[in-house]
Amino acid sequence: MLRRDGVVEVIFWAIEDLNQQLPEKDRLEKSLETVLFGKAGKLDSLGFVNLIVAVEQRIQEETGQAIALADERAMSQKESPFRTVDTLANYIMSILDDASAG
Amino acid sequence: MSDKMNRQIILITGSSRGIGRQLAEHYAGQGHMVFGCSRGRPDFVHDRYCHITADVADESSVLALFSEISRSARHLDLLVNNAGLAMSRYALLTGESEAERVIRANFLGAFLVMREAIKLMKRRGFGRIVNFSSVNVPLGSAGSAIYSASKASLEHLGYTLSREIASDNITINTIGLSLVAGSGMGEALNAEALRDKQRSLLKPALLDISEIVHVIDFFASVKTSNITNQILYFGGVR
Repeated sequence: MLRRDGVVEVIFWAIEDLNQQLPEKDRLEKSLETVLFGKAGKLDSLGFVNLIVAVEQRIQEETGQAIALADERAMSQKESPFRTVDTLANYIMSILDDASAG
Repeated sequence: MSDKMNRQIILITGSSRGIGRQLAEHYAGQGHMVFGCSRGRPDFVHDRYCHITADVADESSVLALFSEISRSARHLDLLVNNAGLAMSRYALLTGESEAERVIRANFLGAFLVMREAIKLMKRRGFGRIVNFSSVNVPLGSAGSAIYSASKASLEHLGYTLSREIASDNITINTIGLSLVAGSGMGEALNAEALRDKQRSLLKPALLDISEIVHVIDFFASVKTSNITNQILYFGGVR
């Protein structure tokens, strides 16, 4: 089972991977406060999709478990779980916890 | 074959019978690693063929399918989106459940498989997707309303999805099939309906699987990275 610091590392890895395709001014910082989605976010919509897909794939590689981050549960929340690295990590942990409990 | 593919990891959906089965046998025989899926079991075995029971219209089944492929092969080079349901029925005689079944298999299922295939293809930054549509779409053949609509939806899905992944070396192209020998298509039509169908085609001869392979190989080639969002119809139809 992946711990929270491992999940954060996965997100940072995905950010690093994405940054290699971006001009320097558009690159994201690897910090918990980095905004991923919404106002003040640097990513365009396709960049966001690529980031989420990369995170899903890496989580699957690390845990053997397929997860779908952008599902109805995520989209229906008042506060987007994708807002920052920190909120995304929390969201992923809730999915993994639910999966291991189920 | 004028342009042999290097040995690839291939997924062919709907591989237990008909066109999918023929394609699976062909590509496994060519030395590629072929994953196939269907709701039932195939009646052939090959040491380069791995069958996974899956219902493409069920998301959890598709996720399990790709978990298995990811675990075994780590990546995917080519998806042949073949699984689907045929239906020859006048629209006014078609019930909701039958219509939904065809749309789920032919459109939703194809979408779910493409979505997961693209995620896997992004790992290596390479992928080729070949969807199957039908000459019934441009012909608007009477008796094929729901089937043709499901395939037309799939064609348009490819049109938009290919834009969403344009920056990746992943292409989505579609083959519009006419009548294929040994696929059950011709056998499903009575003699008069078969003649009517063939009269509407410039090239009415039943297709041999080798002709379909020829087009798949073209779209799947590493040399066709700049060919995407195309629909190629057999039978002389546009």
